[in-house]
Amino acid sequence: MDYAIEAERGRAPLPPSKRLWGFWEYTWANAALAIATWGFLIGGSLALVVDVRHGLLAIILGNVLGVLLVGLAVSISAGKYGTEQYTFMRSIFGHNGSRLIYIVAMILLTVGWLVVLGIMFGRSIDSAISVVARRDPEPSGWHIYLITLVAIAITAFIVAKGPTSIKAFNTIVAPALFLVMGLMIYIFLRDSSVAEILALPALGKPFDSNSVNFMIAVEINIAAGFSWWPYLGNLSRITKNERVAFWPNLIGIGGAASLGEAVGLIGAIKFGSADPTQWMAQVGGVWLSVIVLIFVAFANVTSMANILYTAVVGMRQMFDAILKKLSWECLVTGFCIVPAVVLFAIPGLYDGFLVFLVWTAALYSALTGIMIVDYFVLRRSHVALKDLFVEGKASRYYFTGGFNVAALFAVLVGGALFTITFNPLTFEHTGYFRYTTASLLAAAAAGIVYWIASRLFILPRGLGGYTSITTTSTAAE
Amino acid sequence: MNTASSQNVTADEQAFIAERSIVCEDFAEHEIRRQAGQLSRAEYLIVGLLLVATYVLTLTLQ
Repeated sequence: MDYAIEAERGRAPLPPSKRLWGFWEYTWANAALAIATWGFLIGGSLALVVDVRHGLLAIILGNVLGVLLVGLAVSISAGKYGTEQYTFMRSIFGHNGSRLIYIVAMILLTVGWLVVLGIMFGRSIDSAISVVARRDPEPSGWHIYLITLVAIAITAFIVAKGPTSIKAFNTIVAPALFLVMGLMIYIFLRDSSVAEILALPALGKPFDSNSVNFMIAVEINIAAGFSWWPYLGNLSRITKNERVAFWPNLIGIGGAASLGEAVGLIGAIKFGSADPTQWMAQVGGVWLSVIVLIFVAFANVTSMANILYTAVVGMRQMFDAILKKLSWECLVTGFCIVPAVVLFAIPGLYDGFLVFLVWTAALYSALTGIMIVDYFVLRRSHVALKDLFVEGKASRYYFTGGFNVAALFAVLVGGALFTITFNPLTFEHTGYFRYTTASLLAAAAAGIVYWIASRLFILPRGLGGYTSITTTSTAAE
Repeated sequence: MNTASSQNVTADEQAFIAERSIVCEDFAEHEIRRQAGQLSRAEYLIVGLLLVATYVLTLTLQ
C-alpha cells in the first residue's frame, strides 16, 4: 500500500513534500474549475436584473466577497494540514456530523452539478455539430442525453487516473479557455466601443428600486462564490502550503468566474443569449465557432473532473469502513452511475440552474461562517491531526454521539435566516436585504450563534478538544 | 490462500496506519514553529481590509 497514493486519495494527511500543485498550477486548476458554461449562465441571469455597468460591478464585488470567505473557511486549514476537507470538518461537526454534511452538501449537490455541466457539454457539442451541418441547434434533443453520458464517462476516465491527469488536463484546457474568452471579448468589441457596451441596458427590471436590483445581482455572485465551498478544500490540500492554497483562489476562481460571467452578461444583452454556444454560431464564422464551441464543451469537463475528484476523495474518507476494499477506479465509476440515473429521473434540473445555485448558498454561507469561527477563533488555527483519523469516543472530536450539536444548530439558524431574507425563486426579500445581503448575513449569524452555543454548551463540558488548546496556549505564554 | 491474502492486507493496512500516525505526530511536533508559506499577519490584514472595502463599496455603489 503506497502511502502517497492513499494520502492523495484522502485517507491520510498529505505531507508538503508529496503535494503536487504550486501557485500557478493551483491557479490553473481553479480557473479550469471556474471556467465553464455555468459562468456564462450566471452572467446571463444578471442581464435580467441589471445593466452591463452594474452587472460587471456586481460580478467583481460578489466574487471577491464569496471567494475570499470560502478560501478563509476551507483553503487555509487544507493548505496547512493537507487533510481531506470532510475529514478536517470532524473537528467542527464531529465524525458523524461531518458525514451528514458530506451527504447533504456533497453527494446531492455534486450529483446535481455533474448533471448540469454534462448537459452543458452536450449542448456545446450539439451547437458545434449544428454549425457544421448548417442546421438549428437542438438543445432539448434526445442526443443531448447521449452526449451528456459521454461527458460523464470522459470525466470518470480522467478522475480514475488521479490528480496527475486532472493537473495535465487543467494545464492544457484552462489557458486555452482564457484565449477563447479573449476572442469572445474581441467579438464584442468588433462593432461596439467599450463605452457602448457599458451603456447596454438590462433586459429586465424585477423591482422598481435600482439599489435592490443591484443587491440581487451582488447576491447571485456571492452565491456563486460560496458555491465553491464543497470543492476548494480538497483541491487546496494538494497545494504546497497555506499561501499557495489561499491566494490563487482569488485569481483562478474569482478571476476566471468573473470573466465567464462578464461574457455571459454582455452576450445575453448584445446577442440575446447568455450561452456563447448559441451566439458564436451566428457571429463567429463556421470553423472559428466550431473550435470555440469544442473548447467551451471541454471547459465543462474540466469542471466536472475537479468536482468529481473532490467528491470521491471525500466519500472514500467519510465511509472508509464500508468502501476501503473498493478500488479508486470502482468508486469513481460507481459514483458516476448516480448522475447518469438522475439525468433521466429529473429532466428539469438544468432549467432550474440559478435557483439551484442560490439555494446552495443558504447552506454554504452558514457552513463558511461556522468554519471560520471554529478554526480562527475557537481553535486558534490549531487542530490535533491524529484525532481526526480516530473513530469513536477515543477521538477528542467525538463530541456527542459523533455530532457537534452546536455546529448543526448554527447551520439550521444560518440557513433559515437566509431563506427568510431572500427567496431565490421569486427574488422576494426583506427590507434589510439591501444592506446585509442574504449570504453574508447567514454566514455572520451562523458564526455568531456557533460561537455562543460553543461557549455556553460545548467548551464547559470539555467536548471537542477545545480545553487542550486553552491549556497549550496558557502553557506557551 | 485467502487467509494469507487477508493477512497481507491487514499487515499493509497496519503499516499504512502506523505511517499515518508518524506523519500526524511529526506534524504536531513541528506545528508550533512557523511553517514555510504560512500566511503572515499582514496577509490576514489585507484579506480583512479587502473584505471590508468590498462590502462598503457594495453598499455605496447600489
